[in-house]
Amino acid sequence: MLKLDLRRVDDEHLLVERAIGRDAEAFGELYDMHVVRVYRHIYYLVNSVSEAEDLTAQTFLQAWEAVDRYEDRGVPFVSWLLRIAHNLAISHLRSRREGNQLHEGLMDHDSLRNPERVTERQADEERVRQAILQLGHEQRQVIILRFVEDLEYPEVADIVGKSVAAVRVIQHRALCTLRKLMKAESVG
Amino acid sequence: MANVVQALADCLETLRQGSDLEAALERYPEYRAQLKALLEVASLIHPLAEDVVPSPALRESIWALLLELQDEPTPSLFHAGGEASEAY
Repeated sequence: MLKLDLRRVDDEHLLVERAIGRDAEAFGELYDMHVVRVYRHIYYLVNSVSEAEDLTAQTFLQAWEAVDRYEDRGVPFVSWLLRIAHNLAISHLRSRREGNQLHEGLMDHDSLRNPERVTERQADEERVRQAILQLGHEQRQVIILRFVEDLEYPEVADIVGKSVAAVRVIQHRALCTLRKLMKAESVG
Repeated sequence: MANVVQALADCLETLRQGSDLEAALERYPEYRAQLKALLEVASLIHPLAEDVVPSPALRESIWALLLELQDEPTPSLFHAGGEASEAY
């Protein structure tokens, strides 16, 4: 669920129109509105700060080049951005050799955390975050879009190229997998 | 009778609308244990949204790349106050 008020939607609509007219300042404002979500989405797919930043940059560069092809069919601009981000991240993951990237990514992110803030709840959140990073791409994508980005099923379906029913099935499987991973970790 | 996939989707929607866990689960007693476990996992995910943010330097590097793409560079791609505006 995109928590945007109507005024913000109107503002965004105007910004998109200006960006389509090659108004770079308007595009810069769109960047400010959505960069955190785009970056976060990519980060949870590629699990690396540096790669997430590179891919976030590529996402906005592609968006700038293709913004005149954006059509407002009731799909929020951020969903369009996230679809670009998704395609770039998946392409990147396919081309990347499977290796020790997971460990590198966790190290990257752990360095940003303040250990003094770790409480029991935060420890649970950290466990679930690490479990998410162990999910397959498809399940991870759906989990991030649904629960981190808070998107509705049709928006998720549009981004990942599946039906709403398929997204619900993936969501169920992903939560089951997360539960097993977290349980295994707490036992181990 | 709804299957567990649909029941999970319904419970998540019920919670999203502000109901508590018990209210969400009472419609699906046959799946109660499984749904409760999954909803508890789901509740841990949302706070992660606040935990990952890009570095401020990213904005500046994207600004520089976008400037290269522009036919006629404009003086301020990003509005005043950002690092990019200060840098250019």
